Amino acid sequence: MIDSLVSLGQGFAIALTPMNLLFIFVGVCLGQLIGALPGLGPSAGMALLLPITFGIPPATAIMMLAGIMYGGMYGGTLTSVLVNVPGEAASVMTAVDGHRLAKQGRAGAALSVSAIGSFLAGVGAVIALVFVTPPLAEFALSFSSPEYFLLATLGITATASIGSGSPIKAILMAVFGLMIALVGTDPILGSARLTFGSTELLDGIDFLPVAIGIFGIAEVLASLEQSYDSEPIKTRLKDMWLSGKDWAECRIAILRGGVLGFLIGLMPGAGPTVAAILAYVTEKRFSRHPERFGNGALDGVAAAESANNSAAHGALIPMLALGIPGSASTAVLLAALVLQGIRPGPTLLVEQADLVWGLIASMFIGNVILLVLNLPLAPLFAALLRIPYEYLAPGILVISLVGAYATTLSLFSVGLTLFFGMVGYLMMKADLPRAPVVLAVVLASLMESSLRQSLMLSEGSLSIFVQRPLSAILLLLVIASLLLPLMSMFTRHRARRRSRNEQQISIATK
Amino acid sequence: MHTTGSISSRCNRRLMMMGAAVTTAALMLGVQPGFAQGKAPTGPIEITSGTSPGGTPDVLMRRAAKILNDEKIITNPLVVQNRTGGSWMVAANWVLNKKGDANTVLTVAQPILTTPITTGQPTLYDKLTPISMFIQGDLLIAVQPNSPAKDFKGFIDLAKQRERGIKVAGAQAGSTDHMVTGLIEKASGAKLNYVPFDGGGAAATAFLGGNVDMIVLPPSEALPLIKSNKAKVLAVLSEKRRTEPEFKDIPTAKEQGYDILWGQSWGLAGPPDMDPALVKFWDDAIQKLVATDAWKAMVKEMFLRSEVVPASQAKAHFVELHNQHLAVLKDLGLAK
Amino acid sequence: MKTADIVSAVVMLVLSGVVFATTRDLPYWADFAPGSAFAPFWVAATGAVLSIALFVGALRRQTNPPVDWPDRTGLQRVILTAAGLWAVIVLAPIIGLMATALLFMLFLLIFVERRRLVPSLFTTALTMALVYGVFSAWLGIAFPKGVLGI
Repeated sequence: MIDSLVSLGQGFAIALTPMNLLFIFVGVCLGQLIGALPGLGPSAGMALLLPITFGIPPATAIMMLAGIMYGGMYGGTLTSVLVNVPGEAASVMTAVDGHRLAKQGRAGAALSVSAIGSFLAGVGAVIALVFVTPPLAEFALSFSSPEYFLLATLGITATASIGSGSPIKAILMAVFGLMIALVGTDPILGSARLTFGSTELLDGIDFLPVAIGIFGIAEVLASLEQSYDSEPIKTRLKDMWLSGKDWAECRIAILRGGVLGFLIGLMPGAGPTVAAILAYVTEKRFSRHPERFGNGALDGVAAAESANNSAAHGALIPMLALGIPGSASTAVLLAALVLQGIRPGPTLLVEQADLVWGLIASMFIGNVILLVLNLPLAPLFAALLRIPYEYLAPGILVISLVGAYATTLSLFSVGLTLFFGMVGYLMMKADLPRAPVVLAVVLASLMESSLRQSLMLSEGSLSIFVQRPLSAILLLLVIASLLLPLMSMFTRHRARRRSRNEQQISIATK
Repeated sequence: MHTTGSISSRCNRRLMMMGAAVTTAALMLGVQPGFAQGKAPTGPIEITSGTSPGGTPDVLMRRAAKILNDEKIITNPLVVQNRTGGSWMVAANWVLNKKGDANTVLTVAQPILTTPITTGQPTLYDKLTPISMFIQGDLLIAVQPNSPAKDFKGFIDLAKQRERGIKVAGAQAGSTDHMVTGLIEKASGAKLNYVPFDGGGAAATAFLGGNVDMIVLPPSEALPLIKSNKAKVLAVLSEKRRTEPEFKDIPTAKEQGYDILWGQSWGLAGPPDMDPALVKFWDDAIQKLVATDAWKAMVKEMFLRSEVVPASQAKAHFVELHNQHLAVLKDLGLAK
Repeated sequence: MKTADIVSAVVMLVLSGVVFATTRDLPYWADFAPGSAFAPFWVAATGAVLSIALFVGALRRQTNPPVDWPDRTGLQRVILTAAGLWAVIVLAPIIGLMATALLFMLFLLIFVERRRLVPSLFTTALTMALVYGVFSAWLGIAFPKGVLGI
């Protein structure tokens, strides 16, 4: 405990040098920008910037790159809320509810609650990082394929309850997402599935073209239907900030989202996107007004945004303590260490104590900078919606297409993005929910590979799902999540029948 | 969105200034005469890589590009571009379509050979213009620190006790790890249980979590695990032992009676119909590169080897590599 | 709504059929664990069952809210925009991505949305500057360059 504090003090001494402060500032600003631009997520942005970190000292480079990583979590919120294009993968749930809130004139509230939630969850995660890294790293290792399978199943089963429409449509769209995810090379046996002889499809369809297309491009197309001058969304000044009521509604959501996100971030197989999805779904279960989810639930946004930021920080624990990447971004951080000639692994904490503690201290500073940047600016960003949409729409389309190109440097991804844009538009017309498609694309490969890996590990025995304590708990949760809706349906059915009977009785007695 | 732009452009400008400083520095260096070159291409040169930034081949090429530019061996700006997708096929096709282009070269890595084999597509190695293979990496067999096996033979005996009883974690089907597992099975007659994970990081996680018994590691990744007693290394799959103090006590599989030789190698190839003078330009540049102290230091630090297969022998070397990979993948039943 | 549901159901049924048919030859089970065809089979089966459920539900439903289709001009705008987007992909390798994006923006603003010229030019310039500054100048992404070299 004392040791940690002393080391942290040293870390601050390192992070607070003017040069490091400058690079932390640059890093979080870049992260905010990259996160806000559709297509490029923080991991891709970090990767593209790796070469320029060549010349700077390792600690400084890592602090800047990490700044991009969590800065991206703050930035992704912006585009999701304002224009319904997920700026990066982990803010996909925010695109669902955040944009609804913006249409109701509450963009400022959605942005501020995201900034506050991200900040609290981020700082909480860093505090955990300071004091309990070694045991948490060990805990992270106790997650393996069986747990991932059940976790992904938990996410998929929840899709039925997403959206306000018919559950059949929601599950059918999840199936559509699973089909999209099946395209590509089978991860276990290496055989090509549904690629129709195309080389580009061998790697499968990435989640980003689907999300940008189905949410962003479809939304813009639908908005172009109105040929009259559209009324800019009204944002009243008093709605810019959080009201006391909002805060009371969201603080528990931030806590739940932050803790859940952190735990999921720890797991080397999951990452911030899965964390945000599961936090959103969990919040819906606990919320006092689940019917608002999908139609602009502030607490849903708060939970998802807190979760993705604490997951981004949590993923650093297995990376620093064991040298294993918990997310795409930490994989790039590891690569940056290697490029700098530092060998990541279980010895990093001891051999590179200055770098590790400097990094941890830098994350406190970076999160404060991001809060200071985002909170006062939230109303300003929200005011962007006053620009007539006709002028925003072409820009959104162009930046989305360029962003999609930048992820793979191939026009094929641009084509995929457009294709899913058209699909998304038609889905809106046919009143089919779009979120389940995207969720299924994220979770499908995790679900399929981990099921197959589990059975390979257990030599074909299903007992692996009950013998491991963590997976046994998760299995109970999965069963409960399947049974609870059925039970509530059953009780509702009975109640309805009873009331009908009573009515009949009362009619009969009349 | 526009406001975002203005904030970011402030951060941008700072970076762009840095970028400008770097460029000016590079230009200033560029003015000085480089080594005498037969025929150099004009303008920037793209080194196409099929992994995302940070993958081993990408790291190697970025280091090589930096040293080549820093030491003025090549004065054209060298840019590593990551064209990911289709297990290197996107990168390879990019270069294949640049027939005779002077400003593009392709990083050669194992998937250039294996992906066409496992997906049943036409081979690529014979369509590219071979330049040189100049980096080699050894592979180690590691088991859990508490494994009863004391040496590689003990491990094979253990594996033979129960068919498919030993679990091996590795990357996707057809990866290096998978091929090594196939070679072990072939050389020993034991049957192992290969569990493919989503890349090397995930495989290492499964190993550290104690979910599997064996893993294939390059020395640089094995070292921290050995130091922290999280893995026990049984054999190195090279011809000779490594000479570093950290690894010199690890016997080869060969000296333990199992003829398993496998490793990774990386190099460069040009687009089809590359000008022979340009091949010579690259060949010379690589000879100079591997002689620099900076390169030697990097090779040492990453526990690699750098034995140059020059352009004159590269073609035959490619054929040999292809045949080796084809044979292994056929045994694994992965060749289409 | 009825027609939309029926169309959705038929599309999903066809997709399920395609998934099933193209993965039929792959192994369903391999050694200890499901093989390549396991997941496609169950996905296709679930898709088929749910499509039929949606189909039947649509046929049996009495009240059907109408589909919210745009009016003639609205539809025209959507179709023109979609066509413009696809034209970007076709034109980008020929005249370069940046140039195509520029043309697309002007096409959309002036021709489709019928905005005034000056603000349109201003918006276009601002967006292109942002795109060029971030993606090209700073992140160093190589965009497709056309015959003109831009």
